[in-house]
Amino acid sequence: MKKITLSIMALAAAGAVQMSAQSAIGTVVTLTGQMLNANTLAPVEANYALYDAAGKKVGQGSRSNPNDGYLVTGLKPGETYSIHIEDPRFFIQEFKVDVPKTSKYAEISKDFVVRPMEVGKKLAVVPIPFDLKKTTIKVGTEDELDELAHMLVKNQGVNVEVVCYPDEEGTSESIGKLSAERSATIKAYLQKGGVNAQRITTRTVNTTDPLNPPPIRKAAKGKRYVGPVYLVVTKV
Amino acid sequence: MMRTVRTCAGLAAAIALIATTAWAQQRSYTMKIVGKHADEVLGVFVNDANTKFATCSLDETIKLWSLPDGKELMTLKGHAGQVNNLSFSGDDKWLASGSSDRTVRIWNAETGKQEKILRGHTAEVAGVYFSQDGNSDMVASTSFDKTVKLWDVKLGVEAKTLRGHTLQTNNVAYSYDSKWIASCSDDRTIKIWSTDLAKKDPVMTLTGHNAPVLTVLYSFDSKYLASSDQDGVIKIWAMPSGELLRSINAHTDLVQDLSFAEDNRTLISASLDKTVKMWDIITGQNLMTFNTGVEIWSIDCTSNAGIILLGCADGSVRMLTETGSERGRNDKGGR
Repeated sequence: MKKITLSIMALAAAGAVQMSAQSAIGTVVTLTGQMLNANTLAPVEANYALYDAAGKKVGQGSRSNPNDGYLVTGLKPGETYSIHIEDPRFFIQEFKVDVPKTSKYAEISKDFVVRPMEVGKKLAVVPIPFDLKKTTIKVGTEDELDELAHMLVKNQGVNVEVVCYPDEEGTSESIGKLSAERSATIKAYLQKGGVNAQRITTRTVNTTDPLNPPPIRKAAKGKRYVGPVYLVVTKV
Repeated sequence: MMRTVRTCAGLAAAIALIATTAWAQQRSYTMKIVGKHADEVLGVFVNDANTKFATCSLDETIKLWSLPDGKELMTLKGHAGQVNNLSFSGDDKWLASGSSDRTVRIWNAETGKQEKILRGHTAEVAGVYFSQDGNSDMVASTSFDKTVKLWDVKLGVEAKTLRGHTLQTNNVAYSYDSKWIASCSDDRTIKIWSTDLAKKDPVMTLTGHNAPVLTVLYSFDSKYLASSDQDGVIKIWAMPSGELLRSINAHTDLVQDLSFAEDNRTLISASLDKTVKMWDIITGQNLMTFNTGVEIWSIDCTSNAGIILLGCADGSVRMLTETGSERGRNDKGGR
């Protein structure tokens, strides 16, 4: 009931789609989802605003439910929108939403992972953009790196440190070299994406990630372990 | 009168015993390696026509193979992470795959072309299952993000997110009557959901497993649901009531995958304990145990279980073919 009430209020308040009451039936798709903290995947409250394909803000902006991160908004079929995170606690982020041109769905779903804006917080780069023991960007992972570069360009006051953990324990020299070379690769990629080099530092590590270590042998699925890659926020 | 009833009951029991014994005769198989992935094989799925099967692997690829000869047809590349699971659509035209790169991808099962990338899960995708109705336009997926998502693959729409599991969701299955979806989780439960897009809460939650539940699978008549867990236990549930019919201490290590034969009572399980076992779910009788000598992640079979396909931890794709009968050679029918 709470969610239904929230839905009705959000639809009314946002005024996302302007149309007569007569034509409204079947021409609005309700988007529902959750805002999730990128580090914990826990639901969070975050302010956001809706923009149309032309970049025009639609409605007054809203925020996800503080209890469960739930959000709801009305969208027009066949249109493309962008949801912008506009909350000082989080990075400015943009999420594209394509609404299918069909009357088949009264509701569609999408979750949004938002990144906390706090010195010391780690931004995990997922999927990990390297193959096992490799230092070149893995084909197919460019989208995530492009998104991170775009996000850093949008958040000009933020500096980050690139930390790439090795795939396994080894001699300090060999795994340190891997870590350093991967960090340099990520830095170069972000620079190519428009991020000023002065905003990016790198750190070499000589041990596997203590928070996300290689899995034990018997764990079911998820065993191909490549060292995690993080952007650690050093200045906001 | 009483005596007559007793006689009849005794006769019926005897006939039933004979029938069961005749039906439940031991089956024997021979094994061969038909090919290899570059790393562990996590999923295998036989198409409805029994003419093809697909495998997916830690090596981030999917391979298509012919049946019954087991010839490798093509390798599908595109995922940027290990491919955890896959499923043919009910009409055999499409293949869905789920990966640690957090995407579900749709492939043309004939050409191998990647048709769609479905992004929306916020963590690794663990399981995928195509709807098995004639439309074949919906895919369900499970993930380490604890949700079950339903995708309209034709429109590329994330149609619904099912929330309720408290830990990662491991696998998912559509019922063949297209009414239900079953999901299982590390939270040791199975949840049954309606395919009605307007309904978001689970219809029921099945409890009883004492370890993370790794897979669920409906029988073809949708009357049974089989589940397996990390302790090697298999449970059989009557559907749609959700009544627990049977619990089998089937294996000594985790059972990641199960497969039903079209008779709706023969169930095959594979385990990291290196064995393949065949069960009569009505009696609980073990019909066959085959020691492969290698840890097995995934299993599927042709309609009459004349051929059993295995995805193994050493990267091999293995085929068990039934001996002493024509089943392995003559299994042409759809399910």
